[in-house]
Amino acid sequence: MSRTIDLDVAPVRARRRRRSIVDWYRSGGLTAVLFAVPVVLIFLYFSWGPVVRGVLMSVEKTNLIGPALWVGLNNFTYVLTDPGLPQAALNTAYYALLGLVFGFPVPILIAVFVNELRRYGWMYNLLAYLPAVVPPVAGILLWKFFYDPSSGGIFNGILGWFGLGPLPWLNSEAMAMPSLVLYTTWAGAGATAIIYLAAIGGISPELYEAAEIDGAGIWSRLWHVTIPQLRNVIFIMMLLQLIGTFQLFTEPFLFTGGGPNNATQTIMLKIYNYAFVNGDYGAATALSVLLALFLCVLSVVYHFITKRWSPS
Amino acid sequence: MSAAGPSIVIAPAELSAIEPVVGRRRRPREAKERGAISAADRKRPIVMVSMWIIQVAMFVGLLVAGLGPIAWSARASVSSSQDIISDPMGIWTAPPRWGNIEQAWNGALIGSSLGNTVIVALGSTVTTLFVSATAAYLLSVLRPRWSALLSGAILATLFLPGVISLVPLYLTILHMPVLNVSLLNTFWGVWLPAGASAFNVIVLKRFFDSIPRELIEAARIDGASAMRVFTTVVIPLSRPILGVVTLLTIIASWKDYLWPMLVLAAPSLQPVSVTLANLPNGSMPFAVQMAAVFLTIIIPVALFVVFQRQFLRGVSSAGGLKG
Amino acid sequence: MKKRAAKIAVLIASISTLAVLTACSGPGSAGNAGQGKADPNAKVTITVGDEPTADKKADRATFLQHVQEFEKAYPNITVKPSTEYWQAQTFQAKLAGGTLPDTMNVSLTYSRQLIDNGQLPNMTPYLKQIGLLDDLNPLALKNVQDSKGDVYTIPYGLFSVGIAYNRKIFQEAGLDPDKPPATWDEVREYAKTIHDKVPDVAGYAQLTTNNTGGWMLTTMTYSLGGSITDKSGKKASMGRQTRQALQLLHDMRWNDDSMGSQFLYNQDDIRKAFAAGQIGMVLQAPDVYDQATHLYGMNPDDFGEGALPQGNGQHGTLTGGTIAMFNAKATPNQLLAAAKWVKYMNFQQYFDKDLAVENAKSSVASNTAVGTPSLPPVKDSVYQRYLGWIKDEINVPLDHFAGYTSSKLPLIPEPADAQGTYAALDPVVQKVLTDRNADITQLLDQASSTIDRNLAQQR
Repeated sequence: MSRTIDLDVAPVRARRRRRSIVDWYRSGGLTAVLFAVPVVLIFLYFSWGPVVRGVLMSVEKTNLIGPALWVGLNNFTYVLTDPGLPQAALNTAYYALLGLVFGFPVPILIAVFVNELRRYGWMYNLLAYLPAVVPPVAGILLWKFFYDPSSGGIFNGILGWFGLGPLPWLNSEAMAMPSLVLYTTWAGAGATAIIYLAAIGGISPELYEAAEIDGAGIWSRLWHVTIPQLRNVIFIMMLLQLIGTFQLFTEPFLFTGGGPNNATQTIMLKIYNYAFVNGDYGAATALSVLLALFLCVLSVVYHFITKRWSPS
Repeated sequence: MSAAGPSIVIAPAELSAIEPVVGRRRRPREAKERGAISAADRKRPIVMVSMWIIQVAMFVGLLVAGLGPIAWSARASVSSSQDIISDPMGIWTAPPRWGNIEQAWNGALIGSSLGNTVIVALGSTVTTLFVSATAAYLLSVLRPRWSALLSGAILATLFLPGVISLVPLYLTILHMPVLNVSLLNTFWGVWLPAGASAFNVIVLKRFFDSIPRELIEAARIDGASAMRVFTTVVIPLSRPILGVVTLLTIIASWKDYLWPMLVLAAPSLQPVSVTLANLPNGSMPFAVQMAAVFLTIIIPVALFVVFQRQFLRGVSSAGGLKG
Repeated sequence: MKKRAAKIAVLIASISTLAVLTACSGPGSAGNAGQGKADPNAKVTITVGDEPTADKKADRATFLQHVQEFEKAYPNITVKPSTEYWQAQTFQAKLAGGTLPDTMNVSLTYSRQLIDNGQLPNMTPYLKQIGLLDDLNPLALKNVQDSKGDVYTIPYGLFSVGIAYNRKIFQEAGLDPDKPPATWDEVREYAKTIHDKVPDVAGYAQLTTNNTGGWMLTTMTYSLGGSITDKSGKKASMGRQTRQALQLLHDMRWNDDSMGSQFLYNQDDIRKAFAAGQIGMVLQAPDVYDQATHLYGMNPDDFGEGALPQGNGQHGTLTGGTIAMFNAKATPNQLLAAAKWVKYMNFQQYFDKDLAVENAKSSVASNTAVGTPSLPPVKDSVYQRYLGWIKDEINVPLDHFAGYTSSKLPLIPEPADAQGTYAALDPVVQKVLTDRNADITQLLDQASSTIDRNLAQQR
């Protein structure tokens, strides 16, 4: 198997350094090719190939059985003129914003706090991590009961003890999206906190001591030592979360079906509906391509912004 | 605070010990070297009081968030369908129906699907670690001339939503080009695509970038081959980040259901996520479905509680991700 | 900057190379030439979906026994059962991959769309060949034909939408449980009464999410004498009847407050809530009975089903139910064999007394409802004879369905591009139920233009 692969990749190298294969070998060329084999093979089969085939579908009208029809940019104009698209885009951005403002700091706070604990830290860790173990399908099923808008619902029952509510939760346009953020934060914070905790554990104590000698208080030490030291992890996790939120699907699909009044209709839900409800795979891939382009632009912007914040 | 403590107290020193050596003589020592708060700070009353308050508030919050849903699901699993639906808060006092659990265990094949979940998660983790680590080493350390091209091609896939390639990926699995085999109804069909994760490659590459070049150069000068540098220098230094990648992969494969549902069409191969997603289409009474949900939560939770020391230590010890 | 541009150029070049490579390796789609020339005696293997999974022991045993008997009756056909069943999320991929069973069950509501997309084989010649076409209920056939009258799927488990109600709640509210509402005015009045007399119960509840909102709005429109799309299926044609339906919902929600507090209901959730006694009345086909009593533990004595309430005179109702679909990539011989299988599994019992009784008994054994009133898939005379055979096994309280069974409402087919059209109407219904100041006319205008767009894209 690996023989075929060598043939695939080797010519690229050979052309460049025709004069001596021995030179090439000595300089580690073969090792590099060997190390490239798994990733190139896996990506070729399961990422690049399918993606290219998918992109081709975005300029076709296909029922996935008979021969596809070339329709040029028709699918793109179709999805771009969809009257529901601006709202879906706004909703997605709104979700991303809510997630960043309210959801994103939660795991950092948990991690910073747990790291300061001298005892029982493991217990906090454990409790925070438990929701990550609940499969999303099960978690959403449970939370649907919690979000029951009648006064007999679980959250409303609890609020009732304090004389509050009942709140409409998912049933109101204003509360639906925040309710989804609350759920995703619950489901994701613990696992993310563990990653932050690992990073915080790597911060050298001397930095804190130096700060303390300089007279920095506890808050100041957290702000000027911990957070900057976590910078790289925070950037990575933020990018991961952004990509994740722009591909938000399961939660609105299972919780609200995009309602009420499209308040939780997201781009991914639209893509899903094009593909699996309308059976219009061309439109679905066209919107996917647009979303991917947007995310690419976003990540380039992100790259330049974070670069300015990084020292190196 | 104390109510939850005594039954499973584990010496904190044990948790954060860096060397996982079993049977080592325990001696009292500072649990962690220190965090933002110093030993001197801890003696100040204001710090003591506020730490205590935060600690209790945090504990109550996490207890409700972490255990609350699981406790409710535990009680729901032994209630009647009518009680769960009509009065979800009132099920605490309803008479328990233990039969639900047995029906769910036998009916939904929870045991075998949990086994499949483990197989899927382990295989996906192995593929992911192998592919991303070799790729990151190539892009970060070996850096052949064409590495910029490769890393651009990998990066480009980071932003593509899965839907765009769902159908083509499925067609690929059914009929692997060149190899002419079908991966349908084999675990390979889930394991191999899991390796194509641009995010993990990038995270590992960034970490490998931060490994001091002197270490690698020193090993090279000692005559170590590129392969040897990889296995004896880079990998051991990257244990924490490999732990993180492992964690992320396991979580992702634990949660993913659409792809396994497509590839593992045979019920005997399906992991828990798929079994759960299929439950509402079955003929099991709702209470039994809730019992199945509970079983799928409680078994991994129990395993996690038992192995949490090893698990959390694996992820959080031995340094961290420094920039 | 120059370097970056070069990189991008290389990237694009490599991607287009990949495109060529993958385009070559893609499987050529082989259309089934020789449509309709099937040899009834050729050796053939078919896969059939919907094999009950291991947790349904009795059903599974019966199913496998049927497979054996079928193979005995048709020695040239080998049947491979599969637990595959319809799932919206995986359907498109499996369709493209050709991994669907040769026949399996699908909800009727997808029928039109699959036909319009050309994703189903034309079954007319095979159905003629096995003589099934003449026995099918002509009312139901409308939903599975294209404009030329060709038949693509076999409808066999059919229902028309009626109104399900909770008899216990009716009694508590002082209403007569044997008199379900016959008009929309009565629905409103009863809902108000229930709201006033029975605490914490929604008098009337409405499906709203995952396209069911549009589905039920269509049903209501039909019952008021209106239509959703025009006859040619090219334009939306919603008029005053749809506005009237929405106004009624608006008034029940905001003036009477008789619709409870939950306005995001999908089919499963509303059935759960209904079974739990949180809802007095809800538009449902009688097939809700099995799920409500068996899955969600509703007391069968509390269940009642009436005909779809009407307004502005007697108009009609919408159909729902199950059809057997066939794999477009199957060969003619396989399609013929699959049609025989569907006939054997779903129709034989109407012609064979012993089989009818045996099927009914095994359903009773596995706690499934037997004799739930429905639209017969076969001609009425055949169906009445069948009911006579199984009358001792019927475990459904038929008198609770009296309101439904006594009515003879005409059946109106679904609108064009049913799922897409329903999806466009979901937010309209949700808006009316969650916003007191919703402008119904404006909402419908928006929905109409969305529907027109979808229909134009479909062609």
